[in-house]
Amino acid sequence: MNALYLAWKYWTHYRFRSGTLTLCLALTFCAPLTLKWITSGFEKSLIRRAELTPMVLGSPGSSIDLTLHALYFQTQAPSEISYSEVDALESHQLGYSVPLFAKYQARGFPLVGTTLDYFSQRGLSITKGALFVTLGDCVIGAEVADELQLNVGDSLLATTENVFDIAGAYPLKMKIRGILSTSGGPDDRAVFADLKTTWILDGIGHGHQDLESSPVPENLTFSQSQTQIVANAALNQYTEITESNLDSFHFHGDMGDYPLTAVLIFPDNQKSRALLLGRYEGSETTQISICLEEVRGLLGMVFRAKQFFDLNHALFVGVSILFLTLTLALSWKLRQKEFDTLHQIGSPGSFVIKMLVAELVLLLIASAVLTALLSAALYGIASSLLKNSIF
Amino acid sequence: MKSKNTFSPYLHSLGVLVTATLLAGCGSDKNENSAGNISETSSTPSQSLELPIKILTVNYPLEFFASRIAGELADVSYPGTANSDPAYWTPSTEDAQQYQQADLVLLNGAGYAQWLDKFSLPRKNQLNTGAAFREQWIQETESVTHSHGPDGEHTHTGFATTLWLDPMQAIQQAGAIRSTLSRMLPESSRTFDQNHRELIEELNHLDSELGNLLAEQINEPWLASHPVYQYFGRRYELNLRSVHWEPGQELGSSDWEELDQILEEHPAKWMLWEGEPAETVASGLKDRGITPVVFEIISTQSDGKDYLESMWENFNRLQTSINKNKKSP
Amino acid sequence: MEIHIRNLEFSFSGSPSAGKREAISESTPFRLSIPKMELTSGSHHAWVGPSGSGKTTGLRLIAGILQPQTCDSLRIGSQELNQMPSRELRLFRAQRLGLVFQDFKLLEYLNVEENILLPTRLSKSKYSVSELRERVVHLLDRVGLKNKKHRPVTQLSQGEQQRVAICRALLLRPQLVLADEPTGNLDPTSKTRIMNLLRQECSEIKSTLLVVTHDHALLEGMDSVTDFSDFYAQRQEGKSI
Repeated sequence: MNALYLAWKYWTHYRFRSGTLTLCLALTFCAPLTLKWITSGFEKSLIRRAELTPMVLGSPGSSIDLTLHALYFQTQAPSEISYSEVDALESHQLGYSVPLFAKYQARGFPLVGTTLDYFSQRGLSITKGALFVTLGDCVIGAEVADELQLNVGDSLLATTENVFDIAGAYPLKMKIRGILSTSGGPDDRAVFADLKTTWILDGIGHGHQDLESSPVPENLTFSQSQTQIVANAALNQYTEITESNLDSFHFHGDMGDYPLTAVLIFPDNQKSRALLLGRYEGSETTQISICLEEVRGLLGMVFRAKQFFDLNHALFVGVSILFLTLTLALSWKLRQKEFDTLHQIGSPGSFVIKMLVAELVLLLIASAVLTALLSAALYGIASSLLKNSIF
Repeated sequence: MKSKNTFSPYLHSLGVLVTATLLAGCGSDKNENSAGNISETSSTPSQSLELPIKILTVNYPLEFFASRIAGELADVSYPGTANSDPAYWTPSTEDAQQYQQADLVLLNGAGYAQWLDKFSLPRKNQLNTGAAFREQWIQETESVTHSHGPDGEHTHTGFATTLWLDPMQAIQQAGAIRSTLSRMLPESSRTFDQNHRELIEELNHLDSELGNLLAEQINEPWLASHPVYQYFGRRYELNLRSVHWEPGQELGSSDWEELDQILEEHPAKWMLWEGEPAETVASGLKDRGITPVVFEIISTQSDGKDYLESMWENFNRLQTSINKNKKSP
Repeated sequence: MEIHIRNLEFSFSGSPSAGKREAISESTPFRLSIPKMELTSGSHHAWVGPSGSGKTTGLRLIAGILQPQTCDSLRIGSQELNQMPSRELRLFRAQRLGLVFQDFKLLEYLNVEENILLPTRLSKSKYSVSELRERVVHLLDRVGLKNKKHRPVTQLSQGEQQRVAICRALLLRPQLVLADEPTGNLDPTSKTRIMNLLRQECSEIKSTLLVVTHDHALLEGMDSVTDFSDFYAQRQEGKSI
């Protein structure tokens, strides 16, 4: 205790000296630490999501694209598969599946068409409002709400992929029914709606604007006869589903033919997983990708690049530590007289060692705290910079 | 002098210690990645069901089947009102949310309950009780046509929906309910099996009685005031044709002309009605030698009668009418 | 506490003053030889002699910081230092001795009070914390620094610093006070004041005082004075003593 007391007194008396040393150490460690923090956070969240989503069914092609699309809504939607694949999957009774149709966007955020099962499967909860109830409802991620300053009851315009696609469906004005709690994953930066709502964007389902019963402004009609009202292009720039027109919405064709971009598969157990893989092996119309394998493969490449940085940092840290050691050794040499005095007054031989160790511990603790603070600040800056580029 | 360098050897080792500690600190970065293996997480969220489980249905017959099979173990209900047809009923947002939160939602299949197209329900909680005999759903020939956009006119076709009016199909629907309940509450599967067996016996009995009653009517022309008896007609091999008349509704001359036209090639003696026809309509029919028979479709519960009671009442009315007809040909 | 020395010899290949960091001839070998010395308990003594005559070395031998090569007896009070293990020597130093140095040897990073209490941080003392605090106040009062208790020592004049050092030496009421050129760095007025103070305080706690000095003006009132040049011999080239 007394050694620590003297160490503390020394430490606080020579504040500038101690502060400089602390800062040097902290600066040395914070860059590699932040990088490690970011990459391991990045890795953990990637791996965790991949672990929680064992398999993804999608169209044949790049399995990594399929995985990234289904898990992180990042890559362009791969070509589509039909909804009947979900029924086919479930007919095996080896687990259950959550269909995804994530082809469109809403103000720059991916619009994910799915079923309510998605939320229970991902453990996502609503912080405000409720989950989507009717066609045209949507639920937005916490960051979407934050960035676009949107609240429950506001509307959000979903757009089809190509602005210049004149023949494409109109944008859909969706009603925000709820806001998801922050989950720290890609769900924070996505907009969710019922599959059927996104199919409306795809032109599969539609409603009818009632031009007959409500008075029609003249500028809307192109020509009007006894039996027919032809509306001009100014009729509506977007589709909106309201309580009054909800009943008129309907879908054409067999639901089994409706498109999906991916299906998340949650097999009941390892055996079911193996059986499912077996059943889809050699399928020409679909593929199953094992998310963890895909993500591990991807991370493997990322981390080979990181090794180079690690080496660089290790050298840098090593040199800094040698400098620090030299500084401390010199300082201890200069304090020899002080140590002699302590000895002469009656301190045990080990006292000075204890005191120096205590000083070192103080230095390390202070540096660790400062490193943590600096790293947190750096991490904050880095993650806000990387937000849009990292999944 | 001896004392001069008392601390020098300590200083040296302390320096080494500092270097070692700090360098060890940076070295420990390695190999941590492999520790990132999270133990296998169960892919399905734990289904801890609270008894009685909550089951919502899209019509009354399913409510009846489910409550017969589940007994006290489930709280089964259909939230729609008795006076609106569940096929065209639209739930309120609150109702829809009740469906979302139910432990099990029983669907009829065959595109029944149009609101399902417009509302969101979790797939996991849904059971399409008619899915197992999807191949036998009857495609409706009549269709609604409208036009929009450059594609021109298009047609909505659908399936006949009153699956439960065929007791054999009702048995299949009940079977689907039983196996789902057993999967959800495996410890109670014996109860479900027992209840299911009793229900099936009663349905089989109803079916055989109906079969006996209608045995002589096979391929005979029958009429229906509405196209809702397709499965019933198919089960008992009636040659059934439908018009679109509402019970209680007065008819115009064009309607009668249409009927007379039909009767020329389809000389039916009975016409099935969902409810009592208007008196003028009933007498008009009788003038043409047609006996109107009320055969409730039971999509909602009426007057506190359960599905079987209503079916037996249907049976009795049919029997009375057929027997009367036999006596006075 | 009396001091009793018989046939003590200490030789060193470097300077006798090396410990003081003020060596006059770093590389000169020397030999110190004290055939007999007796100092009675509670008396005040002075050792005089030119610089480098081995006075400091003598003090360090008595304090147990250095150990003689040969010695028949080096007894302080009832304890024979010559046969004491180093751990006990340290305890002896911490509990029975008070040391005053020419360069005060205060720790710059401690304030006046903390410096005085330093010995209690280095080894256990029999006094309670409140007793120690009272003692500090009493000592500071005696040396006229009561109102500077919390000052950093670097803000004190040299005379004041030496007074703080004296307080530190006397804190635990040592039975023997060894002062090595206590006035060496002070101006003439401070010199007398510090010397008187030291003697007064030692008298009050009845401890034996041994002062090393080469300032003859300070010898007044001392019970005995020993000239150290008698014990000291410098080895000249090839000439042994």
